[in-house]
Order: sequence, then structure tokens, then C-alpha cells
Amino acid sequence: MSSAVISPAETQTRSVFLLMKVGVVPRLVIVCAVLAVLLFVAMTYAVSIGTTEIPRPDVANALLQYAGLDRGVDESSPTYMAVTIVRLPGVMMAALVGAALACAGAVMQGLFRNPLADPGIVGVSAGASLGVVLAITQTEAITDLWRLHNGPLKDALWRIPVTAFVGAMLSALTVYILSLQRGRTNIAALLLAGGALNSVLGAIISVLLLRAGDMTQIRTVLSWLVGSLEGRGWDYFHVAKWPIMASTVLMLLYARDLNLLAIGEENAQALGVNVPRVRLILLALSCVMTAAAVSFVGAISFVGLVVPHMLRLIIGPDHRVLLPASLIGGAAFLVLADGISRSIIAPEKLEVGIVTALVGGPFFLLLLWRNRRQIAVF
Amino acid sequence: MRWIVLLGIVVFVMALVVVPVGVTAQNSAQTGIQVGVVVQGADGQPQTFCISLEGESPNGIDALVATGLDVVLETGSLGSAVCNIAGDGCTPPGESCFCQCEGGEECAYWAYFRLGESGNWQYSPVGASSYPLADGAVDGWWWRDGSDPDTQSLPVVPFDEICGAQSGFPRTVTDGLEREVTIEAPPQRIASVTLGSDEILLELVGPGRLLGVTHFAGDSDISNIAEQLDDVLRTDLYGDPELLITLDADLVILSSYNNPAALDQMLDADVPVFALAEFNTLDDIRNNIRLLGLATGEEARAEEIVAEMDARLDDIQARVADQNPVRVLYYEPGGISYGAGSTIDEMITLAGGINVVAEADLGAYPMLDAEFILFADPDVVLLGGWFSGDDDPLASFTGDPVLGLLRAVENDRIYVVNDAHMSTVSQYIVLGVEDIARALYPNAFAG
Repeated sequence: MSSAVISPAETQTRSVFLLMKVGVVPRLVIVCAVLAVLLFVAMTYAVSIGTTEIPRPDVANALLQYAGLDRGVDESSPTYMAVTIVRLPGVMMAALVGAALACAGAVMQGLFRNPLADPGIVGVSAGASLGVVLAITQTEAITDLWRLHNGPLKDALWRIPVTAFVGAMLSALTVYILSLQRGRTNIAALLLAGGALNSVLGAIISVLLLRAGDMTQIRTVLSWLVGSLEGRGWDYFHVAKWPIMASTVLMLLYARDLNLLAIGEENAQALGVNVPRVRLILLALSCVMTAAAVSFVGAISFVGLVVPHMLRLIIGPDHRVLLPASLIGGAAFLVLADGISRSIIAPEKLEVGIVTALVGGPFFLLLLWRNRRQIAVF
Repeated sequence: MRWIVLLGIVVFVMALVVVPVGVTAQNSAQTGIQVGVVVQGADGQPQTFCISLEGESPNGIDALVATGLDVVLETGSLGSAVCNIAGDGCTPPGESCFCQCEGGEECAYWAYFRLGESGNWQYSPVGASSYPLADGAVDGWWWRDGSDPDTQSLPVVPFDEICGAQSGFPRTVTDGLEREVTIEAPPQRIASVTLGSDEILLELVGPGRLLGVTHFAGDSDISNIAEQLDDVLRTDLYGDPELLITLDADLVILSSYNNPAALDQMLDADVPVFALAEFNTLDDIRNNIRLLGLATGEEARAEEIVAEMDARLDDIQARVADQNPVRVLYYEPGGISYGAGSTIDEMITLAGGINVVAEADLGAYPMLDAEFILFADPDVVLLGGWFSGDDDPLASFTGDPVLGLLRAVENDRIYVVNDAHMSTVSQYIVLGVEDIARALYPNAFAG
């Protein structure tokens, strides 16, 4: 396989990406190594921050003990519990969700050849949001959640993620069916249907919220709508990781096909890509991944849009590098945002979704402005 | 190429899988015993302690040490001897353990007694360290000075009197969310994370047993206990799981309006959570007071608080019984009001008034428009709403081009209420009922 064919954007736009002259494999290794270090630093930072003051050595010892090294930490001590039951799962969840959103965003942008595409574009986030709003305002979900019985895992805890997931998949399916044209997806129709559905669902959500009598419900919904990691424990993480990891593995296998799609549908077809099938598979995988992520932590904005673009500006558009880089970079980005969200107005917390937009937005604008001649990515 | 990608995937997957799967709770079943300890020092004033002990056959020394008094022991081949308790006695190695008994026959030392089945103190011939304790035993430590003829003898205090407040523990209480919560001993470090329970607990158990209350408790706009918090350790609690885990409280009071997801993590961390769920009626409030009484071992005090509440309500109702019912509008900025099913509606009814919103059957929490209010034509308007931030609610209401036309405004029957009395979900709710009754029927409270 010739590199010129597989990485068309580089030859087409003649843009000067950092690392552009390096071959794909070393580039992948360098980029992933740098991002992995960044992720590690971000996780260390995020786990050292909390609503209470726990000395850093104690945090480190608790983590090492949790990882299996005996550091002589009392495992029933409040410090150990706080680190391993509250902080660590929150940080792991942030990493998982950040990776999922960024990777799904990179795929969507490549798939639709549209730089504005993000995981929410086919209505996944709006569908999940409607599911959550329905669960919270129209059922006794919150009260039930509290009506827990003593036991390890409470089914009530799953109502919100499950309704969110169902809502996300239903709305993605609706958009997909609306965009079908003689058995094939019409991309323009898909994007338009997604946009329209987003508006419709948004309106329904507003109605439900305005009619909700209970301030607690409204607060819970709002916190979920902007995306929050509070209270997301191991139970959630261990369920969310499976769909996300499975989708990731499959998605990465299609990196080459995404590169071919980038040079145009006909060209891709000519080079042996079964375009309708690849598109459907990638779309479905992105939806599952995004739905799994937003079902557990809410509609965190900006990660899916910004992280792939940031990385593209640095490492170029080759999906074989971009997808793994988005995974690690997205994880690092959200973990960092989570750390900031918990320290910026300490001891209180900002919702992490607010930080991703507030921190990610200006940074991205700056990057855009400095690289405005090189933006022609597609 | 795909193989490299696959390699990357494998690394990523492994990174996720390696993260240990779940936490095992470290919760071994512990069985303990409860004993009483009476200590009488040189001043002749007896102190009593109710002690919970765990572990393999605890002895008299274990119980004495568990009182928290400063104890100096000398351990020899025959076991431990007590030299000094709370400053009375001898301090080896500087002096001998029985420093006042060298020479003379009558002397002062820490004598060890056990309360016998006959109800009398029995001098223990065996050292306290070699005498295993049984549940319900009472130990006596007496700084007995044989040379002093006026010495106060050790008073007999039965076990039930010492541990009376603790009887019935461990106990299982069903909380507001129908969870069965087992409480091992009367909680001494209670963290309250709702304003309602802050108010109830401060009266129920006092500041000494309150580890902390919410940050709302210090806000006199909404709290009825803002002035009584000087002796409470922390006044900044909220429903954050990390905070509540690291507090190491022996009981955490939450409500259904705290963050529900956090509950899961607190249960994982074995934080003893007790939740309250319903707050809409006075019966809910009575029930919550009683629940907290059960959870803290203060059932009798809880009944007293409820009885005080009811006596005050009876008094109010007796005063307004013969009055002609007054039609009332309760109004908060923006048109928020309360109908049937809300606490405010019940308070208006208890105060002898008729709620115009309930009359019109608009639901529990309606938003009113000016037109409805004009047609409802209430006799009295009550103005509330602490969260609006309105400096002068009276002026904004009477200055409104439509609302200003109301007959109640013309007759000067418009009152700004004390929001702390209205929004409370504790026993202080009777203050709100009284406020309303006084506004509706000033004559009934004259003189």
C-alpha cells in the first residue's frame, strides 16, 4: 500500500503539519507516547484533588495499595475509601468517556467529511438527554434511586443510564432511517435530519423542564445536561467500559477505510471500500460509543469536536494515527477538565461539561486563529 | 499496518482491564459487650461511663482505659496494677505504684470492685487485668483512703442506669427510604446534611453529638438555628461523597434531595447513612423527628419535641377557632404560590385561613398570573421568597400596576413573612403557623 494513496490529505493540501515528514509508524509511536505521558500527568493531578485535603503521599499510598502493593494503608480508613471509592472511579470514568467522545468525534468528522461533525450530530446526545429528562421528571426515578435497599448494586441506579442509552439509540436510528435513499445513506439528509431532530428534542426537553414542579428535578437534569462526573462510581465504570472498548477496537480496524473515504466516495469505492457498509458500521459504532459515554456522565460538549481538530492540527489527518491519538488525547483532555472543574471553585465543584467548553473553547479558537491557513483539512 | 493498530488497541484494552475490578468491603461482623464503669477519685465525686468493648474476652483494665480517663498502669507478672487515674494516685517509675501504702496499714490506693448480683459492691481479690468482663457488668474504681474516716463510699449505680440511654442498641431502624439501617450504639458523631435535620438534631441531641451541620444552618434567612451554632464543630457540610466519607461520622443524615448518585459511593465506603424522604406535611415532620429520635437513641426527647409542637398548635387553633375564616393568598416574587398538597397550604389551613390557590384547585406548586390574583380577591396577602433576592418585596408588590389594585393592598392587609419559619421542615414549622395566624387574626393574639 502506498502512503500517498492512504494519506491523501497530506498530499492534497500541502499543509505543514508538525511531524508530517515522519513515517506513520514512528509518528504513531511518538504521538501516543507523548499523549500517554500527558494522560498520566493529568490523572495524577486529578486524583490528587478533592473536596477534602488529603496529603499527596497518602493519596499515592492508597492508590499503590489499591493496585496491589502493600503500603500498610488501613483499607477501612476514610482516606483510603475516599481515594478509591470516590476519586479514582471518577478519574477513570473521565478518561473512558473522554476517549470515547474524542474517538467518535474523529470518526464522525472523517465519515461525513465535515469538520463540524461531532458525536451529537446524529441526535445521540439529544436523544439521551430526552431519555434522562423523561426518567427524572416523568417517573419516580430519583425517589426510587433513593429508595435503595441494602445491597451491592441497586437496580434503581441504572434507570437513568438505561433510559439515556435507549433514547440515544432510538434517535440515532430515526435519523438514519430518515436519511435512507434507496437503501443508501444520503449524507446531506442525515446531517439535516440530525439537526432537525436535535431542535425537536430540545424543544420537548424545554417543555418538560419548564413544566417540572420540583426544583430538585430541574437541578438534577441541568447538571446532567451539561455533563457531570459527580457520584460516578466503579459500578458505572465497569458497565460503561465494555461497549466503549468493543466499539473502539472495531473502529480502529477501519482507520484505513476512513482515509480512503476522505478522498471521496467514488475514489474509495474504486479502491475497494464497500462504502455503504463501512459507513453504516462506523456510524453504528460511533453511536454506541457516544451513547454509552453520555448515558453515564451526561452530554459533555466540545470533547468530540475539539480534541480531534487539535490533534489534526498537530499530527495531520491520517486516521491511523488520529484515532489512537484521539483516544488518549480525549482521555487526557477530559481528565484534566475534571481536575480543573473540581479545583477551580473548591471546595465546590463545577460541572465538568462547563469546564470542557470554557477551557476547551478559547484554546481551540486560539489554535484556529494561529493556524487559519492550514484549516483546509478535508 | 492493521497489526500495529491492533497492538495499540491491545495496550489500551489492557490498560482498562488491569484496573482492579471492584472493591471488597472490609466489614467483619463484630460482636461486642457493654459494661458500666464507676470511677470515684480523691474528690469523692463519682463518674460513670458506659463502655462498649470488642475483641477476645475484654477485662477490667480494658474497660477502664476505654473510659478515656488518663490511666497509669504498672504491669508485672501478676497482671496490671492501676497506679493513677485522672491525676489521682502515684506515677511510676518516679514513685512506686502504691506510693501511699508504704509502711502504714491504712492507706490510699485504687481499689477495684465489681457490682455483684446482690446489687452490692464486692471487693475484687483478683487484679482487674485477669478478670474477664461479661456483658452488663459494672466495675468500680475507688480511690479508697483507709486513713480518712470521712471517706465517701463508692455509690452503687446499676448497669441500666449507666447505660440506660443506650439500651436497645444495636437497633435496626427503618429510615425514610425504607432502608433497614442498623445502628450499633447511640451515635456520638452525627453529620447532618439537610437543614431540616440540622434543626431537629440540634434540639434532639444538642451540639455535643453533632459533628457538623449544613452550610444553610448559618444563614438566618432560611435557618432557625443560625444563632445556636457556636458549639457545633463544623457548619459547612453538603452532600459531597468524599467529604462525607472522610468525616468519619458514626451517622450521616441525608435527604432524598441530596445527590442520589453519591449515596452509592457512601454505601460502598460503609458510611452509616440514614435518610429522610418526606417533608410535605406536618405529619411528615413529626415522623422525621421520631425517626431521628430512634436513630439517635433519644426517643423520649423526640416525643417531647413533638408534644411541644402539638401543644403550640392546639393553642393557636383554640385562639382562631371562633374567627370568621379569612381568604389568603401566599405569594412569592414571579407569581410562585402553593396549593393543596404543599406545606404552606397546610399551614394556612392550620392557622384558620382559606388558601385561595387551593380553592381554585391549581395544584401544589402553581405559577399565578395577575389576572387570577385580581379575580381571587384575597382578604390577606402573605409575601415570601428568600431566594428571590428582592430587598423590599412589599414595595415591589404594592407598586405593581395590577397587583397594587388588590383590596388587600388597599386595606393594608399585606404581610412579609419570615421565610425561615415558612420553609422549615422541622419543629419550627409551628412558628410559621403562628406567624400566619397572627397576620390573619391580629385580634385573637392581642393582649
